[in-house]
Amino acid sequence: MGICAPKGCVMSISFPSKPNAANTGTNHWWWQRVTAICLIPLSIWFVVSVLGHINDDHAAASNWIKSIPVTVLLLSFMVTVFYHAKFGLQVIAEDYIHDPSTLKTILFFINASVILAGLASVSAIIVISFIIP
Amino acid sequence: MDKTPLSPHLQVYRPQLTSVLSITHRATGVVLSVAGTAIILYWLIATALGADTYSEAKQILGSLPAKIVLFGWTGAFYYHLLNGIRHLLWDSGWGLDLPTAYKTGYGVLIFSILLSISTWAYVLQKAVS
Repeated sequence: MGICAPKGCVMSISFPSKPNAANTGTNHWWWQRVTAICLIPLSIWFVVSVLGHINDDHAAASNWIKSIPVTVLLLSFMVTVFYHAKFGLQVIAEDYIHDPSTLKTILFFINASVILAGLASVSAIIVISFIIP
Repeated sequence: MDKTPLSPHLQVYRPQLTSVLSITHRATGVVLSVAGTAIILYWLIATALGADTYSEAKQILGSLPAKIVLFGWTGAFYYHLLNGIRHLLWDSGWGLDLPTAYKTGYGVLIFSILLSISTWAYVLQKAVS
C-alpha cells in the first residue's frame, strides 16, 4: 500500500533528488524534515526560556546555562538548528541561482558560515558551562 | 548554456494567499538564519566573555529598539514554526485540498500573531515581577 493524497496514491515514498553532487549521499530533503520535527519542541523551549531570562544578570544567566539539562538542550538546539538552516538556505540558493559557478560559490559560503556559527555557539556554551566560574 | 526558464518564477505568478505564505516561509527562514544567528551568537559570546561584556550586551538587547526587533523576530519564528508544521502535514498527505490550505494558511497567520503577543506578555510580566 502506498501513500495517498486526495487526488490519488503513489506506490512508495521516493525522495526527490537532483542529479548533482550536492544532493547525493545524505538525502537533504529527508534531513530537512527530520531536523524540522526535532526543532518543534526544541525551538519553542529555546525562544520562550531564553526570552524569559532577558532580565538576568551575568551570574543568574550563566548559572542557568550551567545546569546540565539546559546545557544539553542548548547544544542540541544549536546543532539541529544550524543543520536545518544549512539545508533551507541551500535549497533556496539552488532554486534561485541558475549559474553553476555562482551557485557553487554561494553554497561554499553557506556551508562555511553555518559551520563557523555552529562551532562558535557550541564553544560559547561549553565555555559558559564548564570553564568560567 | 541552457536558457530554459526555471521555476519558481515569482515575477510572472499572480500573488495569492497560498503563494505569498509560501514565499514568506522562505523569507522568514532566511531572516531567522541571518538575524537569529547574529543575535544568538552575540548573546552567547558576550556571556562567555564575562560579566562586563554581558552587561553591555544586556543593555543593548534590552533597549526599546532591540525589543521591537526581538518582537518582530519572535513573529518570524512563530510564523516559520507554524507554517513548517503545515508543510510537514502536507508532506504526510494531509490538507492539500484548496479549502483546507486556505484555512490552515489563515490559521498560521492568526496564531503566529497570538503566540508572539502572549510570549512577550509572559516575558515582560516576568521582567516586572
